[in-house]
Amino acid sequence: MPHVISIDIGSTYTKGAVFGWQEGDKAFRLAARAVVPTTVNYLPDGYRQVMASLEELCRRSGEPFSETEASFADIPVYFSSSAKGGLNIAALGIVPALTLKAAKLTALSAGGRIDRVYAYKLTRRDVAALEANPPDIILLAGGTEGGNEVYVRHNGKMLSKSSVLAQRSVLVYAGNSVMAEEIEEMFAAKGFEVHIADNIMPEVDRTDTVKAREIIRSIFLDRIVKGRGLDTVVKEIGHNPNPTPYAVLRLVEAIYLKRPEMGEFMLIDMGGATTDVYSCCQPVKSIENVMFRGLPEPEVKRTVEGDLGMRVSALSTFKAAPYLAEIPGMAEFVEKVDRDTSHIGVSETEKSYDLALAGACSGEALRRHAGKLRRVFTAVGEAFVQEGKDLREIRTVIGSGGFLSRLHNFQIPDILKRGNTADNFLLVPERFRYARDKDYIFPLLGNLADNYPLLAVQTALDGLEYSENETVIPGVENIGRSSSRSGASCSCRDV
Amino acid sequence: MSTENVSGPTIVLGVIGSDCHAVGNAILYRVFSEAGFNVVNLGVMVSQDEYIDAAIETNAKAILVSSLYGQGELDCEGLRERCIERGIDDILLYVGGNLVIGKVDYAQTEAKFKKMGYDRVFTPESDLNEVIKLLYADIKERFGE
Ligand code: B12
Repeated sequence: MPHVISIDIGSTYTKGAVFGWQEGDKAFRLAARAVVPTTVNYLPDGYRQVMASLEELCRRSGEPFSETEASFADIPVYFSSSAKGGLNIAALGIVPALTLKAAKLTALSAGGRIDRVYAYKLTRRDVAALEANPPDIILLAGGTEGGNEVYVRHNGKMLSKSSVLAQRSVLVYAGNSVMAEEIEEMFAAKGFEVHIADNIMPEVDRTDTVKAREIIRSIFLDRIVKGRGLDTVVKEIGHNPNPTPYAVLRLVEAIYLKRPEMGEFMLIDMGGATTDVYSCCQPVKSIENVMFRGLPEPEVKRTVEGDLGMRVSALSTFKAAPYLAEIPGMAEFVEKVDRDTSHIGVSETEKSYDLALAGACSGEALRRHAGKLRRVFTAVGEAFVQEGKDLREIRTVIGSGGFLSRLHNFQIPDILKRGNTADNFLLVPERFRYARDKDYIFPLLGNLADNYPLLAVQTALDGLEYSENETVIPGVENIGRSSSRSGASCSCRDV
Repeated sequence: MSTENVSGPTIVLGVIGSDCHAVGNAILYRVFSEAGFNVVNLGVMVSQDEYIDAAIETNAKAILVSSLYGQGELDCEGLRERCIERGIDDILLYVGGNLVIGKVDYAQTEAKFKKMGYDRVFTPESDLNEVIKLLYADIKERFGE
């Protein structure tokens, strides 16, 4: 029986699994899995510990290896590293809803994490802040093809004169290509590392993020690998790691493409520090009287909320979800886990606090991921303007990460019910089944999604445990659909 | 599209969105041409990008947007942001017509459109001679011409 190994080096734990399969199998068989605390100072130590215990487990259970697998070291290994929750990227654009938004989408879909964003012109204060705490990557965008040059030139000058790039940041330019040479010269003259990508917003209604994402990902790999000794691991097994969020994105994408019968779905991956949301759906449903505004949304979309999480980000979650303060004792609990981020809720009360915190993280992350619908009145009656992605028809929400993997039933986040007003509506799923990634295996399968897509997808789906009941988020069902149609039919009332 | 070879500043004119009210547009074209402007008239049903395309190609100093059918707010929002990304941040934006449905206080409408980045906001009753004077003055102030 052939085997494959997947390892994920997270910020707290290094996890690994051995999968086996046979000709004709639809899914992997989990042969062994192991977890050790991540050896933060020298990552290969933790990696080797996991490999050793996987080997030991396989030996003890008498795992049947195939002829080509004479020794454990012959089994192919795929691995990922989260590099402290992803590379920090500072995104620069001109207009917040246009090139800046395109820059944010690009950074997130490359597996990065948005550190700071800047619209229009950088000020000296902005530059000082960047110098004080330089991000891994500065993504500089702005201007359509043949369009604006002024902002990018200004921002390029400010950055090339600063010490940000000398310290640690790498510049990726993905703006108006007319400025590419000038920018390249500006930075190369100082000996700074600069990469030129295609313009991520060639026209106002179109984005093109492929090249920029590729560049970001290769910088990412460079950083992860050079980081804390991983280059020795790379040398041993002969290929690079994936950034963990990128691996999960690939798996989610593969499920969406290979298993259309799943329908539209989303995944919430909640950790101690961040909450990642992935959605797979048609971004705009063709509905009469709904006009779409802004940048086109990707069909497979990832967002990362760096201020929402169960432990390291407990305090900022508490601030982002003001209703948590209404729960007696919640403030004290948040303080406690903030002081001791390894604290695990034991008593029933503490468990209920954790549940509330999880609801806030996922609810608030979902709210930020989802689009909005705004009611407007026109000469021909009522109509709606949509910005962002319409998630209403999503019927499955997958929960992953340490906490959600163990949670059997999803709590309706209060925050979502409170989001709607008479004329503004959140485009969140109307009703859905919650499915937990019960073995918390998505990140490990993500590493295998490129080379074994069908097996990885089926294994991921087999590992889902669906809740019995549907979760319903009331208030958004028919808005912009039937009601708008009736509005359109009495169109002549104004003339 | 019609352009005439006059020496005055170039302006772009048109009725925005899917609005097809053509009479006012014809009047505006005549009045502004006679006042010495080089008017690039795009006619009715003009998209935001068509205004900007024309303005870039002709190095126009101002875009005059008309909206008569009541969807002005929806059609006009975002035009300034598009101008910025496409490199004409400092172009003057004028807007006029029946900008909103029903009787809404002018000051309120003006504030709304100014917030959207329009430099001046007019009603159907605005005196076009006044508008011409303002436009010359605004162009002089912004571009020194
Ligand atoms: C004729 C007319 C039509 C004709 C248009 C024929 C044509 N191709 O031109 C037809 C029948 C097609 C039509 C259709 C509709 N119409 Co009609 N129409 C009119 C009507 C009766 C006259 C318009 C006109 O020509 N006025 C004369 C010109 C000279 O004035 P003006 O257009 O206002 O332009 C001047 C000023 O506004 C100003 N101005 C305009 N733009 C700008 C810009 C700047 C920068 C400045 C400084 C000044 C400025 O200067 C212009 C010149 O003096 C008006 C009512 C009215 N009395 O205004 C309704 C009216 C404009 N229509 C109206 C409506 C609702 C419609 C329809 C939506 C009806 C429907 N339900 O289908 C459709 C829309 C179709 C479309 N896609 O555009 C409403 C608009 C409601 C609102 N805005 O609050 C009006 C006001 C009628 C009403 N009282 O309800 N319409």
